[in-house]
Amino acid sequence: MKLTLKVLSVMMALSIVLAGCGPAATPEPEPAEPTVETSGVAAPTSVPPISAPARSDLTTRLMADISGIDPCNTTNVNDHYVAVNVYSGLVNFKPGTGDVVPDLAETWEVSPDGLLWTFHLREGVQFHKGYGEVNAEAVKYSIDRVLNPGGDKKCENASYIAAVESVEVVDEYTVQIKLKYPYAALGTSLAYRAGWIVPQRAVEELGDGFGLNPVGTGPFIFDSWTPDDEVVLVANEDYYGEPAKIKRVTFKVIPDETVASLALENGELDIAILRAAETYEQLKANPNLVVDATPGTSVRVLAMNTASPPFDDVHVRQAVAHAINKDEIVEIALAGTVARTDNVFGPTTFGYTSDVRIYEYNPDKAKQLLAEAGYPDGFEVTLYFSTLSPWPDIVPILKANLDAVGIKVTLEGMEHAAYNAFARNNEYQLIVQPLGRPPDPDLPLSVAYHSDLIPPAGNNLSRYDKIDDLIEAGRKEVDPEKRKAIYVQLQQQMAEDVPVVPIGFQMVIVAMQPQVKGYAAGISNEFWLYPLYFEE
Amino acid sequence: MLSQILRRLFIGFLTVLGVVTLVFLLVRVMPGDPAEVMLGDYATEESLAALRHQLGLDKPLYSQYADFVLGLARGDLGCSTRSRRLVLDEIRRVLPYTIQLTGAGVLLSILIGLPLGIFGAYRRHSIVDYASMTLAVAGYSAPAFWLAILLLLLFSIRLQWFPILGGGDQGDWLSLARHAALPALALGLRQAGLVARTTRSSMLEVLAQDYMRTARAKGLGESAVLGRHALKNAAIPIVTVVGLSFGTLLGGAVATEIVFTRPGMGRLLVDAILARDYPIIQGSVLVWALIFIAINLIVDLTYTFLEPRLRAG
Repeated sequence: MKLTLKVLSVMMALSIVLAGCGPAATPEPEPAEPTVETSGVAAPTSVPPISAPARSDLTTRLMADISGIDPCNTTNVNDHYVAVNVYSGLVNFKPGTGDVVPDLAETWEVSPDGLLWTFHLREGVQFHKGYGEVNAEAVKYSIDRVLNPGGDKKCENASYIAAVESVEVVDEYTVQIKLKYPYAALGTSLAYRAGWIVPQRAVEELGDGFGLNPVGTGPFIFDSWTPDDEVVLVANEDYYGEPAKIKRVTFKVIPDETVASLALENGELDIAILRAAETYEQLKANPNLVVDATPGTSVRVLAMNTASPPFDDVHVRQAVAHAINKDEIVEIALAGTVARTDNVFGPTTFGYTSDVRIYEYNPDKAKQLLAEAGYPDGFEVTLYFSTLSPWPDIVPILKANLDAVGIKVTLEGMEHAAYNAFARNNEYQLIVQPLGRPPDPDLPLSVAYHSDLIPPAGNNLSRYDKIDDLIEAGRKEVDPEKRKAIYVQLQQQMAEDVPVVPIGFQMVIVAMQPQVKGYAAGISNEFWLYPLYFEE
Repeated sequence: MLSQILRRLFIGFLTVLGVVTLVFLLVRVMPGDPAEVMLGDYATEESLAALRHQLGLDKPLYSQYADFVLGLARGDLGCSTRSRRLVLDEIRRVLPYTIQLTGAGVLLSILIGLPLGIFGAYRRHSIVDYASMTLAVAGYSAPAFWLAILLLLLFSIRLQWFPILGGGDQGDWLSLARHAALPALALGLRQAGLVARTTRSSMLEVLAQDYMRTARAKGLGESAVLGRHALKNAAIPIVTVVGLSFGTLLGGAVATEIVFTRPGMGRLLVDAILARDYPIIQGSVLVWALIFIAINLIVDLTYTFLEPRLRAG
């Protein structure tokens, strides 16, 4: 008995030690964490049984937890999947395409010099949760906030609308955006992230917590978030269009692809975005599921350092392009989850052309080019890659292909965050690079091929500096035909210079139960819930 | 006895301080930082610098460390760089799931492993002994995540008995049990092998002792011989293994929580590492260390209960 008491006293002592880290439980008011006070998200919400007969609730998947849904700094795909359903901008993408269509703005016109865009707002559109009506002031506030939210805080998405000089309120429902230079991609940029409209009062009330309690005007209202577990949206019954047919959407956080596919086969998920080649094949073979694959805008390339030997010699880069068997990569290693491309754009991007120089798979020609460049016996090089799927499936084939022509490759894989840090801060000759951007050519080009963004300043990993003029010309050209011609020329020049070997563009793959109808793919990582419904 | 506990607590305190310091340094040596992850693939140097400043990551290391330790002293683990929530709240939310899972796993490992081990020792070299030891080795050799997938395929896809996703609702015991059943089995089956093997060898040793013959000679029934005399004397190694099981299973919970998409300490930590969420990594490792130290202390105290000779010392 004495002993039991002693054990108890130890337990109590321990609980005091544990409670010693406890004072934060009743936090002193600290500006950094208003979330704790204001959010109603901590309580796990019970999900109604998913096999109920009348279906208006849908369960889907996130690949990782959200980190914050805010037009200012939403940068990752999982945040984006949720955000496009909660927010709307002046314009939006038509689901399934990259076409820019009216949303909060019913119409707009552009001045002849391309510098002044006038938007006419839809009247009577209400923010979620009683935050009032959307007017020109709200538009000005939202865009100003992204461009310059004050002090040293910087909005990550400001780069999308860097062309914007100022936003002027003309009247309650008319707003003008003045540009520093004509910017053809403005529509796409406003539809993507930086142009989502937020209510000033909610942003000010919630502070840093706004991203986890987002308030928008979209067809769905952000209901709750349980970290690492689920995000729940409910239909916005006051949506300016028809309210969504799905009334409640639960995004379950399921990092593991195999588990997600099991949950689909089991019926616990109604629809899910997938990435891995194995699950794609497995689910395609399941007659009880529908699998959709649509070309996306994200392109995967092998980048070569054009600033130093041996890849400063275009013959060497061309040799690499001839050495790589893209068909083997996309069809065998990736099972069609990525589609072959000879271009740095996907076919859904404006200005795409297939009329570029093609480097067919030809190891003999690769060896010959290497010999001409002065490397008859090849050379040794390290290929750096991110271990994020699908790179681990791609790089062994790259290595085998390059080894076969005499380029001895050592593979060096890194976890994705480490890879990003490495890519910006180190010297290397060969590195893989994903490029996922909205469907306007300027956005991928500006971040990955302009000489202003050669590391460490940014992500021009091939350190390519030959198309700055074309990038800037294309950015400023407002006439669609002339603009297209610029991009065709640019793509052709890139195919000659081969700063990167484009491998394939990612397919947007979604598997769903056959009762789920209305699906339209989001080609730049949107996940459109609005068109979905269950068949009776 | 009390001084012994106090000494252990002091050593435990030093251990925790060492662990958190090591983790503090390790996360900062890791390539990539929270700003890199939060800003994604196309961040510019300029925006990275701005965010690092905002997060206080541009301060010198000693000053960051001082902030961290002073915070700890006040019981403040800071707030997550990713979710902006208090680290302590995040841990408090997921800790019950991990404790329930680990507890259920340990319980299962005892319920399965102990009878197998006792029976194996009692009927040594019988078919049952060989079969149970083969199972034990197989169980212990199977990785938890692999076992987890097999269990999912059988019980959730084929038989549809258990749900695949989530951890259940805290407070609803049926829901918690249904969600914990398969992951606990995946963890418990593995550990049951170890418990069975340890029990068997420890029991064999005890069964060979003279006092076992004496017990039988004075006419005690077999169950009393095995239970009261043999098992109690064989218990110390078993308790050690079970205690260590908690540690192993906490580690195994990382993989299991990910496969079963359960909330928990393992997933919190792995997600935090991928997101370079320094405060969460530091906080969870701290809690992890405290749990380990507590378990070791409890195991040691159990020894003194089982073996009076140790109380003196």
